[in-house]
Amino acid sequence: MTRSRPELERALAEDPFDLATRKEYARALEDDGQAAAALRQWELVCRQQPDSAAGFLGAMRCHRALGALERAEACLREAEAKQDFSPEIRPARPAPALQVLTGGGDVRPAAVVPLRPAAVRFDDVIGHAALKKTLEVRIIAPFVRPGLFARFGKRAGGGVLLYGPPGCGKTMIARAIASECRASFIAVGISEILDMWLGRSERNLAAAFDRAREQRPAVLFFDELDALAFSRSKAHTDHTRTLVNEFLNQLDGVAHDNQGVLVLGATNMPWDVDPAMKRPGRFDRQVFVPPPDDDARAEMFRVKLADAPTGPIDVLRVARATPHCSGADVDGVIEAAKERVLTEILAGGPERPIAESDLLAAAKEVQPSTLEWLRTARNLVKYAGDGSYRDVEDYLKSARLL
Amino acid sequence: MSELHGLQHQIGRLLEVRRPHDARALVGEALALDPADPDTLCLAGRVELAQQQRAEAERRAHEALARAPGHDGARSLLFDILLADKRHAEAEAVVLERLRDDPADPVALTDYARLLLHVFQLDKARALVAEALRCAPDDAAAQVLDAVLHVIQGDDRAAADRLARLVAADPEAAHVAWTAMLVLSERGHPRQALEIGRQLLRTSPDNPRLVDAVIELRLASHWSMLPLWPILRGGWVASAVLWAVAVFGLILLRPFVHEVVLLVLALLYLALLLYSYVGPPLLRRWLRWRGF
Ligand SMILES: Nc1ncnc2c1ncn2[C@@H]1O[C@H](COP(=O)(O)OP(=O)(O)OP(=O)(O)O)[C@@H](O)[C@H]1O
Ligand SMILES: [Mg+2]
Repeated sequence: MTRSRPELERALAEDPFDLATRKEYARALEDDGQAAAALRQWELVCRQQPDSAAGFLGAMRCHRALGALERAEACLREAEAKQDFSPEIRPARPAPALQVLTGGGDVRPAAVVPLRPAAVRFDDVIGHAALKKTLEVRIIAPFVRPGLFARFGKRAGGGVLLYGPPGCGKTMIARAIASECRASFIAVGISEILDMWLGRSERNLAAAFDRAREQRPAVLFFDELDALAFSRSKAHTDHTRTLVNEFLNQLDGVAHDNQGVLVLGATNMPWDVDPAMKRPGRFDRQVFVPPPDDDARAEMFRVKLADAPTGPIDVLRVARATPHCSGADVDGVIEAAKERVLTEILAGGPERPIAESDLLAAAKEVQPSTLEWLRTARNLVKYAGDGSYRDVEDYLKSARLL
Repeated sequence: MSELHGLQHQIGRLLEVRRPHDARALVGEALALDPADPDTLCLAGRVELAQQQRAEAERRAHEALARAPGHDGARSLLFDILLADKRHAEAEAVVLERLRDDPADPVALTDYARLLLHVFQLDKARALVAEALRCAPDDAAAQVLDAVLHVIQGDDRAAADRLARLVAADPEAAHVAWTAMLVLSERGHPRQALEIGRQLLRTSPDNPRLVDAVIELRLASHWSMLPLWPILRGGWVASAVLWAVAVFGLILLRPFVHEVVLLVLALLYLALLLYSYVGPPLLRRWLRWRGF
C-alpha cells in the first residue's frame, strides 16, 4: 500500500521519529524529482539512524541528482562503512559524460546544518549528574518518544531555559541535548538575529523558527537569550520591544505548529529576560547549570590532561585548589600550566611533562569567573524573595556562599 | 538607510541589551567606514562609558565635538561623563552651552536639574524641572525628577500626584517603579515600598544601590523598629523634640509622682535612647547577613 505525499506529511507531523514513514516520504520526493527536498529528508534519516547505510545511500542519490558529485562520493563512503551495507546495493558510478546533463540547473543544495563528526554527547559533559538525569526524563525522553508520553497524558513541548554563571557548560549541554534527541540542531546567537537593517531582526527570528519547523524534529537553540528577549520594562527603544513581541508570537505558535521543535535557550542573566518569555508554553522550564563541584573538576582535569604529557598528578588536590572555578576556568588553568612548562623548556630547561606543581601555581593566578555571578544571584535569593531561584539557593547553601 | 546608519543603529541596540563588548567590535567597523562621523564617535564614547572607561569616553566626546561643534549627542555624553566623575562645574558649563543654543530643550533642562540635585541646589532644580515640564509635559525623565524633588522637599502629596501620572503612562517601566519606591517610603509606607523594591531587585539584582535601598526599607518596616517609629520617621527634629519632651516632662512631673516612678521613667527613656543608637545598625547588619 503506498500512501500519497500529503498523507505521509501528516503522518510525519504526528510522529517525526517514524523512520519508515520518513524513508517512504523521501523516496516519494525522489520519484517526483524533488531531489533537494528529498535530500533534506535523507539527512534527517542519517541523523536519527546514524549506524545504518540507508540514509546515506538516499542522500548520495540526491546529491548525484543535484550534481554535487563530491558530496555523493562522501555519502557513499559513509554508507560503505556501515554494518548493514551490502555490496549488491552499491550503485554504479555514473559515466562522466552524463554529469553535465544530470548536474547543473539552479537547484540549490539543502540548507541543513551538516552533521558534525564530533557532536557533543551527554557523556562528554562532565559532572552535572543530577541535571543530566532531569534533562533526560523531562526533555529528551518526551521529545524522542512523544507517543509514550501522550499515553500517560503528558504533553511534550514548551521551551527550556538554561541559566547559570559563565563558562559552566550551558552551550555544551544544549549541544548535547540536540545530539541525544537525534534532531537537527539549529543554533542562533545575537549575531544571527540582531540585524542592522530595520525590521530584519524580526524576519531573521521568524526564519530561524521556520527553518526549525521545516527540519523537524529539530532543536532550536538561542544562545544569550537575554539579548534577544531583553526585558521590555528596561528597554528604552521600541526595537527591543518589537523583537520580544515577535519572539512571543513565534513561541506561542498561534499561526504555526511547533510540534517536533524543541526550543532551548541559554543565558547568564535570566533577570534580563522579559518575564513574559517565562510563562507557560514558552520557556517555562528554567534549569540552573551550577559550577562544577570538586569531583567534577577533578574529572575535568583528568580528561582534559589525558592527551598532554603529564607526571603523576593528584587531580583531586588540584580541583580543591580551584574552588568555584568553572569548566572554562579549568581550561584556562591547564593552558596556563602548559605555558609555564613550555616557557621553561624554551628558556633552555630540560624537556619535562606537566607536573602537579605547575597546575597548582597556575591555579593561584586564575580568578574564578563564577564569583561575580554568584554574588549577584545571592542578592536575588537573600533580598528579593524570588522563589523561582530555589536551585540557586540550594547551590549557594551547599557552597557556603549564603 | 546607509550602511553606516545601519551599523549605528545596531551599536545602539547592543548597548541597550547590555552588550558593550559586542558593540565595540561594530564601532571599529563603523569607524572604518567614516572615522570622522560624530554620531559614531558618540556611540564609541557610550561604549567606553558602559565599560567604565571614562577617560576614553571623554576623549571620544571631545573628538566628536571637534568634528561637529555643538553636536547634541556629544554634549549629552560629555555631560553624563562629567556628572559621573563628579566634576560639577565643568558639567554645568556644558549644559549651559546647550541651553544657550536652545533655552527650551527639555532634555538639557532636566540634565541641569539633575546636576543641581547632585549639589543640593533644590530650589533651582525645582524651577528647572518645572520649566522642562512646561516645554514637554510628557517627558518621563523630567516627571521622575519632579517626583524625586517633591519627595526630598517633603511635599508628599505633589509627589504622589506625579507618581500616579507616571504609573498611568507606563506602569511597567523600571523608572516608574523606582519613583514609586521612593515616594511610598517617604510617605511612611515602608512595607509597600519594600514590595516594589523587591520586585525591582528581581530584575536588577546587580545594582548595589538597590540592594542597599531594599535593606533600609526592610529595616524600616521591621517590628522591632516600632518603638523608634517617631525617630525614624521624623529624623533629627523628632529626636530633639523627644529629648525636650522627656527632660521637661520629668522636671514637671517631679512634684507630683513618687521618685521610684520618676526613676523608672528616666530609665525607660534612657533605654529607648540607647536602643535608637544601637538597634538599627545591629538590625541592619543582621538583615544584610541573614537576608529576608
Ligand atoms: N561540564 C563540563 N564538562 C566539560 N567541559 C566543560 C564543562 N563545562 C564547561 N566546560 C568547558 O568550558 C567551555 C565553555 O563552556 P560553555 O561554552 O558551554 O559555557 P557557557 O555556560 O555556555 O558559558 P557562557 O555563559 O560564557 O556562554 C567548554 O568549551 C568546555 O571546554
Ligand atoms: Mg555559552
